[in-house]
Amino acid sequence: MLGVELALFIIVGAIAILAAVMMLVSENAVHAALFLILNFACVAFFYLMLSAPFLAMAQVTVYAGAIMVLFLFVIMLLGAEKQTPESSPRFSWLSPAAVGLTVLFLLVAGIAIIRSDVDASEPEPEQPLVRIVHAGGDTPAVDVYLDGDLWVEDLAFREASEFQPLPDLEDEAVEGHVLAIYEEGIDSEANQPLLSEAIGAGEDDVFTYIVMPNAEGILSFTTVEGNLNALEDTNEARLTVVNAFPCESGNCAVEIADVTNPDEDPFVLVENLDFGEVSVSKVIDEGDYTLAAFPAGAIEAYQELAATDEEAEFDVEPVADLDEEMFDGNHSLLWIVSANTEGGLVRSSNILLSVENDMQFGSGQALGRSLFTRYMLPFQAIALLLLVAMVGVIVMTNPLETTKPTRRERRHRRMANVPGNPTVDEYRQSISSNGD
Amino acid sequence: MENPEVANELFVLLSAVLFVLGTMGVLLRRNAILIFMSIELMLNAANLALVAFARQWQAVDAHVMVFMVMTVAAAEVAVGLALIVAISRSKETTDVDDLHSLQG
Repeated sequence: MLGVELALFIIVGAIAILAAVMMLVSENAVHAALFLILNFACVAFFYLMLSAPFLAMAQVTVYAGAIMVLFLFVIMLLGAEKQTPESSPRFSWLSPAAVGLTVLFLLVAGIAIIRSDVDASEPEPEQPLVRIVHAGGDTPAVDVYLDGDLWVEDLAFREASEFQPLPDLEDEAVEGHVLAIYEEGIDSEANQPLLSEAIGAGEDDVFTYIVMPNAEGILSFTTVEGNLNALEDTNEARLTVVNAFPCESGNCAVEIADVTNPDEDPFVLVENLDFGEVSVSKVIDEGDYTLAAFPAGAIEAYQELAATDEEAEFDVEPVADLDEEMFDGNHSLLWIVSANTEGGLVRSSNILLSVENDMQFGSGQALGRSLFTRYMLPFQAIALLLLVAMVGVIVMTNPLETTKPTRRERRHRRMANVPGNPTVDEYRQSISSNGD
Repeated sequence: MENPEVANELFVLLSAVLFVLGTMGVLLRRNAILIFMSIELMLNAANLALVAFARQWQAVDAHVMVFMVMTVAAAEVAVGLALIVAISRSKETTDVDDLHSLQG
């Protein structure tokens, strides 16, 4: 069964090759240029197939537009479209030799490609990225050790480390890495860790390890698998909520709701999130939101109250809220509902982490970013090259430089009284009349 | 990345074919403008291979490379056509076989 994409590839590929051949054999230079434009359009189509939309647009505007217009312009300017029959090559063996050599090259390249000597294997999976978040309000700052080596130093409450790639496993036999948490500044060899856990290393993934204590103060890890793939719409954000709010009573579950507009339908965002649980990530439109975390079951009462009387004093209080928080588009947000004890009172404390999602591969955004960061210097060099080319073109085609007659020639020409040419007097007259 | 429907080898093969056609144009045609157009065809074939490999490795660097090639091609076309204009003005021809003033 022939897929649509493959069928399109074959059709457009045939057109591209046909256009190139026609360009080769056409006698008229203008026809050749038009066939080349057709070929460039086909290549632009292939760029679209290869998920490079920006390059496809650049191909159409720069190549098929600007460059070919320049070609056509010069062809017309020189009158080169009226081909004099091409002079027979000076060497009779040149044509067959050229054809033979190119066919040989094509054969070699074709065999290499078909035998898959071209390395078309899948790229190596990248090491997973890992970050650590400290969400224990009453836990002192910690140091994080990975496989016995210091990895993150002095991580205080509400702080998050940068995403770091896990190193390759040195010993193939060992499965996974060991992440250990020590109190900050303590000798890791002489003391027991506060928490030590083997972490599974999935491939090509992003993990957030949240250090949080339960009501008894025992630390544990909660793992959030981040999703940094681009969202379909860049005006959307992705929200994940983690319940790290310790409570003494049995039911610690919370519900997350958007209280900006209580009347709107999708009021509840996350239902019944138990302590230590991670919600599924929600895709929401970018904008300002006031999100609140309610104790489980309290949300309906709040909704009823809000619906009946806007001025009512709410008996139902959220345990935590994010007031008028801006949710940027194309970001992955992680909201950790946490708490710390202040003066004997448990107070809620929010940790909101935001990561920009990977941009779509091949998009103008992605290209622009690498062009203006990593490839800034080559970009400047190219710009300089264009400038030099521009100046060079002006110098080269300046007629004053090449055809300016010498003083003697000019004088000679003026004096000559060839029929049809103006005499000196007539010439002077024409100049003075032009001047009026 | 899911397996693409059109294999990379096909794109590379197509790019090789286009490149060879461009080479033939350079070797067989005698008109300087047509030789120049064939060089553009070769540059495009190379770009196509670059973009195909960029998809394979999911590397946006190759797209930057293609962008630079396009820019250099634009500069090259401007200079080359200016040369052709200047030559045809003095020699009244664009046939490369008639341009042998550098021949020893």
